[in-house]
Amino acid sequence: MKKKIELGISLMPEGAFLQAVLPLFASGDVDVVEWSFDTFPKYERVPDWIKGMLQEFGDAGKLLGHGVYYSVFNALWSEQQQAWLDRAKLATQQHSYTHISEHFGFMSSDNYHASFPLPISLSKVALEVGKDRLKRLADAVQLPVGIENLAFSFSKKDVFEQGVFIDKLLEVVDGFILLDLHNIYCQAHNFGVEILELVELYPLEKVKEIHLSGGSWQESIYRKEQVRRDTHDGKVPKILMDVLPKVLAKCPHVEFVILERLGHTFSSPESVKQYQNDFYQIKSIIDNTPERIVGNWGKPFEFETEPVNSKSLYQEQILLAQMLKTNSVADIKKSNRFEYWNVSDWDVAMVDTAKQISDKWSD
Amino acid sequence: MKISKLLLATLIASSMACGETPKAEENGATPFTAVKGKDVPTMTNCTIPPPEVPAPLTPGNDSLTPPPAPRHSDPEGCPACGMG
Repeated sequence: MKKKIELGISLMPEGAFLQAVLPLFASGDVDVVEWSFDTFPKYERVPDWIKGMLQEFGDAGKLLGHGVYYSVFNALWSEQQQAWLDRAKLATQQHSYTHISEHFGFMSSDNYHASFPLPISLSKVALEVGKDRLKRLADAVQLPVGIENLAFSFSKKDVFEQGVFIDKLLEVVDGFILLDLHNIYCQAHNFGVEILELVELYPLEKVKEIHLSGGSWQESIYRKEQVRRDTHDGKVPKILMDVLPKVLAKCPHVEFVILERLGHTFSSPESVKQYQNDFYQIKSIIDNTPERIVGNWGKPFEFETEPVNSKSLYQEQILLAQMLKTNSVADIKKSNRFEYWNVSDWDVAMVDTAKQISDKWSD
Repeated sequence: MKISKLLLATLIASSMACGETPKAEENGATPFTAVKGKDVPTMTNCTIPPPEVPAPLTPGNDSLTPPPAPRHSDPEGCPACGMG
């Protein structure tokens, strides 16, 4: 079956966001919506207008679920992860989601309210942990599940391996890739690689969904070039609009393109106009893209009752989070306490950036 | 996708509670169907207290964009667990 690629937006609860997107909904130009069901502590606290969206778009088969806090690569199965799965299952019972996606990586702390996501290097142990978590997710929600590429890596090697890693991870559930082009842009800029070169390192036949967003620049004392951050607070870079048609052409089964922007970042009428202009520019590109063959996602699988755990990897995950809080960039770079990461390959500017974020968000 | 009139009314009511739509009404058009990308309400008259609509916990994806939401240590409390 062939169908036109659908354009949607990621829902945010703020009034300013609603005001920015209302003309788009009123005109009927939003084909699909995406909702991060784990961002509200209780469903009862979700604003009524969002509940209405979830119901109506869900009933029409136009609702995508996108998780933030599952922590796929947390190497020691936690109560928080089980609670997250229970919540994901409940969300899929409350509304009709088409699929559920999550991010590559793991959270820096069991206290997810005071942590941030970190990348992980490809290893047999990490892969087994990730496969186990992905199977548990697919079993809980009984829907196709996917993984989104991250915007941040410590090393160029990890950047080049992320596509392979995600490919191996998805095999176990026949899952899909959520290809975030702004994340690709961040990696491409931060490590001096061409965007399309990175895109082609992913198994593009597995791309079902694409994300687009804006971001920001951060100065670094470790290099002349700024670091690109995926902050979801600005316009979509022109270079991404330019490559989007080429990327779409390379993804035979892509079904959805989602525009992301944090709801509290509409600080002026100009920022609203910019967001809406981005939306219609993407729509124009999609309207000029041929229909796609709908892919088949998901397959039967079995998994053990007991979660896959790795105490050694978990200890290193904790160590990494701790060192980002307490140690200098130089200390981290010369550390020989890691087996699952090759610290000597790490880019000092990226280590420094991770430290800054850790300082801001860790307890 | 065309949304229902009921949902559109809900969206408009929720949006109006947080703003105003002077330009569109001056044009004689309905507030949110006038011109794509224009006539967008502002937040100038917002009277909804923020705690009723918790700040989103949705971060960016770069591993470096944690949620811009209050946490345990913030005065207004953590929206994810209710602890202040």
